[in-house]
Amino acid sequence: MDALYHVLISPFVDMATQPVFFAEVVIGGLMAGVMYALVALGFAVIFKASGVVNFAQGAMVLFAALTLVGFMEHGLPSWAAIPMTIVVMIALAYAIERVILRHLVNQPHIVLFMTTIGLAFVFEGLGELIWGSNVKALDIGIPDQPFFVGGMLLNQFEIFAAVTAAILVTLLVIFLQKTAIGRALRAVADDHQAAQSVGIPLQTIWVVVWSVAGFIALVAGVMWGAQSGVQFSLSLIAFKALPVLILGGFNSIPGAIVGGLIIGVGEKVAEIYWGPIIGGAIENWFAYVLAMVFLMFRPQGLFGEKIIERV
Amino acid sequence: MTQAANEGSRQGDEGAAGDTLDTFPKLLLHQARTRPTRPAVREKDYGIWQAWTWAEQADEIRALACGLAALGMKRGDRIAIVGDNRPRLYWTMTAAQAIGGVPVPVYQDSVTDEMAFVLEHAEVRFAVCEDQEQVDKLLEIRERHPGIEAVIFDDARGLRHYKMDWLHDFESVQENGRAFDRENPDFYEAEIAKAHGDDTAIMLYTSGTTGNPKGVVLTFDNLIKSAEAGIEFEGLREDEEVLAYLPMAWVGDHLFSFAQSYVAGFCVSCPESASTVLQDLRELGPTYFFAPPRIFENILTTVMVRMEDAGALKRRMFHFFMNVARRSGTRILDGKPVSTMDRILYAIGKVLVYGPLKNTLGFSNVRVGYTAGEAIGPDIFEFYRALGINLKQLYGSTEASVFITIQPNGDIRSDSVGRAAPGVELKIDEDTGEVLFRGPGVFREYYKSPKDTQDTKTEGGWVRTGDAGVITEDGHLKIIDRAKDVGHLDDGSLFAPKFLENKLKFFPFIKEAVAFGHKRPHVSAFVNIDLEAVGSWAERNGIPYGSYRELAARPEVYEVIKGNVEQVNRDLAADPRLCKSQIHRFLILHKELDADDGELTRTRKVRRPVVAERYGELIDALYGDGETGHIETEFTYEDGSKGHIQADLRIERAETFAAEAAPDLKMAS
Amino acid sequence: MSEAYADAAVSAGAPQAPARVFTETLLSVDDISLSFGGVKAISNVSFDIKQGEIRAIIGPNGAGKTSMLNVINGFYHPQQGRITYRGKVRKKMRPNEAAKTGIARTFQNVALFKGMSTLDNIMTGRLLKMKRNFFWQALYWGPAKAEELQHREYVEHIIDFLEIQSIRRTPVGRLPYGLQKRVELARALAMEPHLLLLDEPMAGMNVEEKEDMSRFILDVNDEFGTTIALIEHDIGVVMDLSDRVVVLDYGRKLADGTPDEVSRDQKVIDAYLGVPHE
Repeated sequence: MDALYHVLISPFVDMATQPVFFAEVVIGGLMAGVMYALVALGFAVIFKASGVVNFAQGAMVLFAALTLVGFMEHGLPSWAAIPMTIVVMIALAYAIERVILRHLVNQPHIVLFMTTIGLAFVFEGLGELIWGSNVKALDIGIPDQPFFVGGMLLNQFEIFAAVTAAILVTLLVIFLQKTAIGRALRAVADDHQAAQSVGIPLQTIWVVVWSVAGFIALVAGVMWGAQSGVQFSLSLIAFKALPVLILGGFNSIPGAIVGGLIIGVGEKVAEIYWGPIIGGAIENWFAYVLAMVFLMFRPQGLFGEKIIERV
Repeated sequence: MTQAANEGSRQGDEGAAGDTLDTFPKLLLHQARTRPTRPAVREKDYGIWQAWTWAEQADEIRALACGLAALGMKRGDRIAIVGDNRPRLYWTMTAAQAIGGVPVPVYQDSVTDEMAFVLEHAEVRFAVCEDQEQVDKLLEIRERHPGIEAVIFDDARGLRHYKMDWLHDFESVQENGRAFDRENPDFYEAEIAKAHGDDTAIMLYTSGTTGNPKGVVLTFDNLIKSAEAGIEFEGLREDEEVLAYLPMAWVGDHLFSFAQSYVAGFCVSCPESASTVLQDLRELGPTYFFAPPRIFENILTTVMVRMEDAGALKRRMFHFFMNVARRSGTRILDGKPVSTMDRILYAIGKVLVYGPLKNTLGFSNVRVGYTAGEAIGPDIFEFYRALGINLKQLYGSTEASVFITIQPNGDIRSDSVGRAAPGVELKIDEDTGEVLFRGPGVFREYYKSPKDTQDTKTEGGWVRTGDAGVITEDGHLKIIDRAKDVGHLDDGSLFAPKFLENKLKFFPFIKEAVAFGHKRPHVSAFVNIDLEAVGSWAERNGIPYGSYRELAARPEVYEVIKGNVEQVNRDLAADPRLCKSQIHRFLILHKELDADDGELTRTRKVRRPVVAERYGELIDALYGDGETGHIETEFTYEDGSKGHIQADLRIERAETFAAEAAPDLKMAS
Repeated sequence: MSEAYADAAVSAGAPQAPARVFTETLLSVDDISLSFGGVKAISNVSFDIKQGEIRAIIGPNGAGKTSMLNVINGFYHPQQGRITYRGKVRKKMRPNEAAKTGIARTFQNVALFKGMSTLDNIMTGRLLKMKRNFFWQALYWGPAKAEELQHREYVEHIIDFLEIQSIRRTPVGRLPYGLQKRVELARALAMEPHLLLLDEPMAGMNVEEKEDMSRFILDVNDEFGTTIALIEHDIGVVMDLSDRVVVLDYGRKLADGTPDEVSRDQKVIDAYLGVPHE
């Protein structure tokens, strides 16, 4: 009885009696969710255009962050270091197309997936080789002052991250839906053969897609890096992005966002209110349980095929 | 007189076109002067609505009129117009009228032979076609009827290799017209001034029920006065939006999309293509809309099908609020008292259901909607009215320049077609029950058919409609049948089989009905059930059946149909003249009436003589006193082979009701 | 529809099919051989396609027709032989490069971008015509936007031409098969091709749809002057539509000539026409 009370009733009593604290937990969760979403977005873009789960997305986040920090350590100001890093990511996308993807056209997806696992290790190794393996602080001048709204403690950084994510998503949607190149990208995602026959060069599209994914990785890397330092565990956040994608649907941009937010909030709330009962560390596996439960009911994710058409 | 017309007569004296606005070309000049920058016509082309202002439209028409003159068109010449609703085809009407020609719009989907008849009968010298498809028909007709001197086409696609010298591009005709105009600058306006209100404006061919089509000659006065009356009656303004999508050869389109636009100055929009009408409707959001019942029926079916496919929540919400609407929507529209609770629910429904639904259908802005042409099912009619769309029935004919009766706002009943339109008088022929009318829109004659004219336009200017009807005490007209189908019961009272059959067919379970009663003591009927509707009802209620025949014989089904028949009887009892037509006995046929067996026409109309002959035994049984009727019939299998069925069918008695004379008397006093 | 066209052509005294003469060669394939892992799909086939004509490629299943189209449009690279296009011997090229030289095609099983609307599908056909580079297009700014509108206008003309206005905004995945084929043709036309390859444009259509499609093919050839090479199974359609026919069987060329000549060729009758077709 007592155990049941602690699981089923007391957490809700706590939420109801301390609403401000609960709101803080939820907002904290949302912020973490934005971070997850940023990583998941990179996956979604590549999956949408090629049907491949890019296992190396996490490593790309790390690599982008490392590169940025590296440039800044060499004395470049952030306004110069960021474009430089973007150039590096684009060059990388180009190299990936040249060296790997070009030779794997029409191969089964599993082959490409395995390749991306290999890529992940290459990125990590490359990053370490060039920039060293110490934990580095990343400070590009994002304001980080806490402030109170209605009794809740908020952080400017979190707001900044949320706004950045919103802008990024808007840009992505416009890019994919409104521009000719976005249309070409969607065309390639739908049917390679047909896309080629109307004159869309697959190679160029791969480069664009991987560049976009690289750019998203950079944004995610900056946010994570600024929050918790640039270190090798960054590449592990890829594992957090997977449940997000399952929840939101692999090829849906809004799905990545909503999925990220749900997981972020779910995780935090579970950790705070149920964590003590079970003994803590729920955060590490809760996302997977949520995703698995979800899979049973809606295998295509929250935003199934229907929404994709409109995104 | 409308405001527009008043303004016109004030300003008209300075124009060269004459002092009164009694023809369409004069109205055109007037509109181009008074509202030059307002849109006159729109067409969706290449995905965009292209508009012409009144001034631009006047220019185009002037160029075309002069071009036609340059081609040799003389006063009195007839010009055929063949195609979908297109601005250029509408311009042709005015352009021809401007130089004294007579436009003859032709149904664009008619086969070559039908079209040939009209063109020959009207002795057209010129034709304007929409595209290659129509030009090809003209080519064929011209071989038999060389009187066609010039054919002008709007869309040049596929006509590149047609090198005939009498085939002209619309634009080149206009170009020549502009040159002609420069050389004869006074020609155009002088020609316009020559015409007057009592001149022929247009010839519209109607199929009629028998024989060849007849050319109804309408004058400018007919059309302009009818248009003005309608505008005044409904309060139409220059900012109405109208979608012109019904055939240009139909008098309704000519009046609503042409005549009234010229008089009131509103803009007419032409859809992109026949297949995009529903989308164009949604984009345009017309304020003034007309459609035959068939279209309203189709739209309703689509809505219902989509609702069944929608999620459970959405579906439940839809049904709940539609019930609210049926209860109170029509009453709100008619300004009758409604409970506060229902008013609140209706307001919520408006936000959640009616508004979005009307928006998807393109009916959000409709102020006046008309339906005409045939009887509309009361359920369908009520559905749209319940949504808050001011849909009204109209009764009219080509010979009347449309309006005979209209349902006035606030006095709308699903079973009447309204009261006499402004300026129109009605009467019923005592012997035949036929509706007669006279008024400003009455046509001049049937072209080259004096005998037909004489038969239809009787003494005192009364025109026969060919429809039988009754006028209620308070002046509403109910159309009951074609006059020639109306018979009499033994006691001499009126018997209108189609009226009864339609009433029965409006019930979802009844697919077909045949009523008997001419020279009989009372009325009885055959019923065909709707296998789909009754079948799914039977399944829901656990009623077993193996075939149509078994289902038709189920006592439960008889019970439901009996309820329907008695409902009809109750309605009939309310009308003293139709009270005697109540259905005393009926039976449900063991097979569906079928066009393959010759019992129906291909358009699903009952062939009475065939039915009477094949089912003679059953008809006799209906008028006997037995409980069953025996029948042996031959039928055709899908593969064409023949078979026989024998059956004993139950005959059911339906309750009849005493005439409700009292309320009618009260109203009369 | 196609009957009406024929009737009109007769009464209007328009030139009949045999009167069409073409002189300039647009594309010729010489001695082409193609094999997949030792299996020969095409052996030593040569023929040409003249500027402005409608050229049919027919043959039983497995005759190598689709392989031939794939060679012409760059999906397959023949082991032997050469292709001369617009007067020049062509290098080995990818499909997107072939598209750049003005070769457009449709596919046997309809290869549309299923998630996109009809309009977006056709707009992809304009990608090659867009002059602004990827960078500007990605920004969707200024000149790129203006250019987009200009291409939209061209696409609207094609939509009008093929009478698919009513499905402009419909995702193509939801369209019936016959209309999908029409959208595919529209997408190919949007490329303003010199050479249009149609792989069984009427497969799976009912009679009415076939008539419509035949009319569109004739109209395209007539209005745009596009050279068309098509694979078709319906012999009646081939005889009506095409100026010249090449017959393939087991990867070899069996006959080549006007529909009339080909249908009288005994080899063809034995191999193909003698067999009842659907």
